[in-house]
Amino acid sequence: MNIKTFVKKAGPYVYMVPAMAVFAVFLFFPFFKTIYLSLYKTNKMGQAKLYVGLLNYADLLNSPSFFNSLLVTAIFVVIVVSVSMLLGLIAAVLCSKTFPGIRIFSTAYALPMAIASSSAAMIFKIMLHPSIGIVNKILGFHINWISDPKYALACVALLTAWLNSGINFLYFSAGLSNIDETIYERASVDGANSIQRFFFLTLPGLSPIMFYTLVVNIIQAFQSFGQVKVLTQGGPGESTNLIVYSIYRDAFFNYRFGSAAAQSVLLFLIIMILTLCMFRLEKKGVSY
Amino acid sequence: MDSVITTAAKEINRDELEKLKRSATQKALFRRRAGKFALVIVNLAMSIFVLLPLLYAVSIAFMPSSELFTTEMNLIPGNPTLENFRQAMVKIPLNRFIVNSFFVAGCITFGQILSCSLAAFSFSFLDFKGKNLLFMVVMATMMIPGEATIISNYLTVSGLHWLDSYNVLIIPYLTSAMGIFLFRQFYKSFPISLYESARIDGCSNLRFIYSILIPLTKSAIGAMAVYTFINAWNMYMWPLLVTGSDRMRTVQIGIGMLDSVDSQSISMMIAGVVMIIIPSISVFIAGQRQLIRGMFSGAVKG
Amino acid sequence: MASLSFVNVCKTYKNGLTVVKDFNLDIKDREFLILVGPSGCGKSMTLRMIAGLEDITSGELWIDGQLMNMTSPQSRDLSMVFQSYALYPHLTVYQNMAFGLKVHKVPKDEIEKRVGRAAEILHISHLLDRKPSALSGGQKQRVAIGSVIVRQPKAYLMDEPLSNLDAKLRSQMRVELAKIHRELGATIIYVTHDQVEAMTLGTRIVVMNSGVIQQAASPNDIYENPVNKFVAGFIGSPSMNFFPVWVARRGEKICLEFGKNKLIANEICSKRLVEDGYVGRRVYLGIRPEDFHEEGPEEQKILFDVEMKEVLGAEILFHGRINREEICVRLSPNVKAEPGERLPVYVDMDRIKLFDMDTEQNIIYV
Repeated sequence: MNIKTFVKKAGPYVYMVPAMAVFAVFLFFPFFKTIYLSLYKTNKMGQAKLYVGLLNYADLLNSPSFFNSLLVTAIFVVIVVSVSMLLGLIAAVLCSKTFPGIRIFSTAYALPMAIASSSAAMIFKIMLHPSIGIVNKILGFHINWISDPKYALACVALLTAWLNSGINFLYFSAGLSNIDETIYERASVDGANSIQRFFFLTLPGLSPIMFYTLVVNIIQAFQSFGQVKVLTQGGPGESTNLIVYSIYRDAFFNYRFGSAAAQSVLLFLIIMILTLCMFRLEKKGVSY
Repeated sequence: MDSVITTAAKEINRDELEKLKRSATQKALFRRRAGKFALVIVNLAMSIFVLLPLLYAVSIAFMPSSELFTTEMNLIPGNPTLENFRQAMVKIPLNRFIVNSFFVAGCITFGQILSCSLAAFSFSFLDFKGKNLLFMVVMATMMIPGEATIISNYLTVSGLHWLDSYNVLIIPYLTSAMGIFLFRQFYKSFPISLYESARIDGCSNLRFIYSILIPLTKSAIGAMAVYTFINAWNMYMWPLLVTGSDRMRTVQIGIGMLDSVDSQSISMMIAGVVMIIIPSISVFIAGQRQLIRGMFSGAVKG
Repeated sequence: MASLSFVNVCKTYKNGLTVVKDFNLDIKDREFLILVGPSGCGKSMTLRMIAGLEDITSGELWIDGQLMNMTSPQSRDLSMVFQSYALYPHLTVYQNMAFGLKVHKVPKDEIEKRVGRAAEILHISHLLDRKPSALSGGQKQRVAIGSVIVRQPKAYLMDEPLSNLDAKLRSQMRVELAKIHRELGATIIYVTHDQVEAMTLGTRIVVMNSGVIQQAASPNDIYENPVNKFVAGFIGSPSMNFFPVWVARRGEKICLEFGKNKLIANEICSKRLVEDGYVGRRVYLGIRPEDFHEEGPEEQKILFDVEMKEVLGAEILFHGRINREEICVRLSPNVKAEPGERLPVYVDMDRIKLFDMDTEQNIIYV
């Protein structure tokens, strides 16, 4: 094989090299290394010392703390996804008809997506402050939102929902503009009022983008970290100890890298199974 | 239909009919205008609700701390001051953090656009063995949450003695599956004959990318740039783990140094937060239309 | 079913552009009314104003004796077929057709009955469970019409419903539409730019141009007695030939002269031309392609240069020029002439039209 044909054959791969190199070193390799680590007991430097098989997993499945963090994460995800999608949907519907100032409003609705979770958490920390926070002042309560185990999780979840609502607004706006305008005209001539048009046309018309948004939202919610770290550090008690925060704490505070790796693998499995299930369901459920 | 005007009206005199007609028209117009007005009002309420945290943060940032500590309603600073901003800059090297963040986010943005567009070019215009398999692998990586790899990545970079350097902040983020997907989706809308005729005209692959593909995909590049920059600017977990010194901290981590709930520093901390939010919001507002056009023109459709 | 009436209806956009000007028309119950004209003439806008999808800037729209100017579309009790069909993509054919009945709270078994009947009329019974994305253009079009005829609204509005179909399907659907009109006994207002559809379907045709009604009359009247040059040229295919001619008095007779051709006007024309003072002036002479014959008296003869011929089987179309003016002539297939030849033809002088040079009005309009 001479050089010319080699260059020709290798060419297509050359364009892949930058992307694939990064993937290989910082995604594939660590992914498998995480699986490997999850089968070992490690030392403080994170080196695998003792092969223990599935012991790390067995320990996790017997640990009430891990089940607590799974439960907390599940509640968290449900609140985040439903609230942020509802916020995004309402905002998108409000902006679906033109009116003066629509550009300003739609920028406002999308804006939360530009804000870092850690910055947002700092702002919420003050808003939820028991004595000077604006939330208590407006509502007239004297609740210590963040240090009360009853409210802490909801606070973190609502903060996350707020952050995620921005991109959901964009998704739903795009979905709304994809609906053919003339079917609304036909429906109104057919005698449907605006409420009927919303339920018979708008909602079903959004179902494909709704599904996509749901998947993205769930994956994103599972990965929330910054807000927990800044706002509650997993507390009070373990009431906001989301799975990602639990991984972080196990690995970098307790230096139990093996156990943290096992949790990472379980997190991956949960997300993968959920995603696959949803795609299964989509084939049956979503109209058109 | 509250005011029915029937043909009987046709026989009554013209003036009266005109009057009836005008009042019906006015009623309908009023109803429509009231509807529009209500829409604006509802939007106003909703957007204030959504923006409340930001507006509140801005207001506190300008508030002298004496004004903050009160149980009274204090939405708007009575004596606005820039003192909080000044103090925040003094207490932590915010300038350095901002420069770091700009540099890191800039490099990541540039690197992602470059690596993703090259890979996407190869995926959409070239033929090679294992192309479909490779593409599926790339897509599958989207399912791996960053947190599932972060421990091993941390161990890797500490093994390389990269901790607390620009390398460690930038290099792991130089590509993204979503970026490759977005660009490929865009390139797919171009006919393959675009590439073939360029090749027949003697255009090399690199030249084709540089002088044809990039100008044609400006909106995708714009969307990608805005999205990547904001995400890089807002990065939290990774920089938290791998940076230790003031020299390398990015804004999100640096601002955490102001985080304590003692009376003096609350307004200072919020002033700092406002300062670091401004760049990402500015980029977002400037690039919002690009972002929407690029992300949703065929790329993300259910 | 209902009658409609327009009184001085105008539509002006905010930017001052007027698309419909001073529209006056009475549409009788059970009429199949066609709005026809070139694109941009305001015909679709007129239909959308009837439906309530566009505001009426000034004037009155009466439906069944009620002023409808400001009534919302859903309260007008009409039904409309859109050019793009506007099928609901997430509903099956059955649900699409049932939609209008469902929002009007028609009982379920009644819906089933009516949809079933409409599907039968349109031969789409086997498609009822499909989604629109699985239908061909012709099937979609049938579903669109089906969704409209299941209801019994005051009037059916149709906005170029056949324009997206191929020629064969179109002529098939024309026949079916005419049948449906007969069976339903419905008031139909139908917009098209296709004059063949207009001629074959309508009980009355309204020809529009630049937002103004040119003529409203039966298809036959429009064809035989066009009010002006625009209507004469728009209706009929191939369209009417126009020649600028001199009106000259030659002894007793009134002659129409162009180039070396001299045609002697018949009695009626002569009388009108003399009375209205056209002698010595130029007018447009309009002759339809079928009003030329292979034989005839010498004073009706004109000569033209054949440039192209289209053999259509039952007839031949000759295209050519006469003193630089284009001409199209329809003759029987036994005429032998080839491009390049000069062909004599004889004009049926009883069927010619004459139009004023400036106003373009039909001089011999009756």
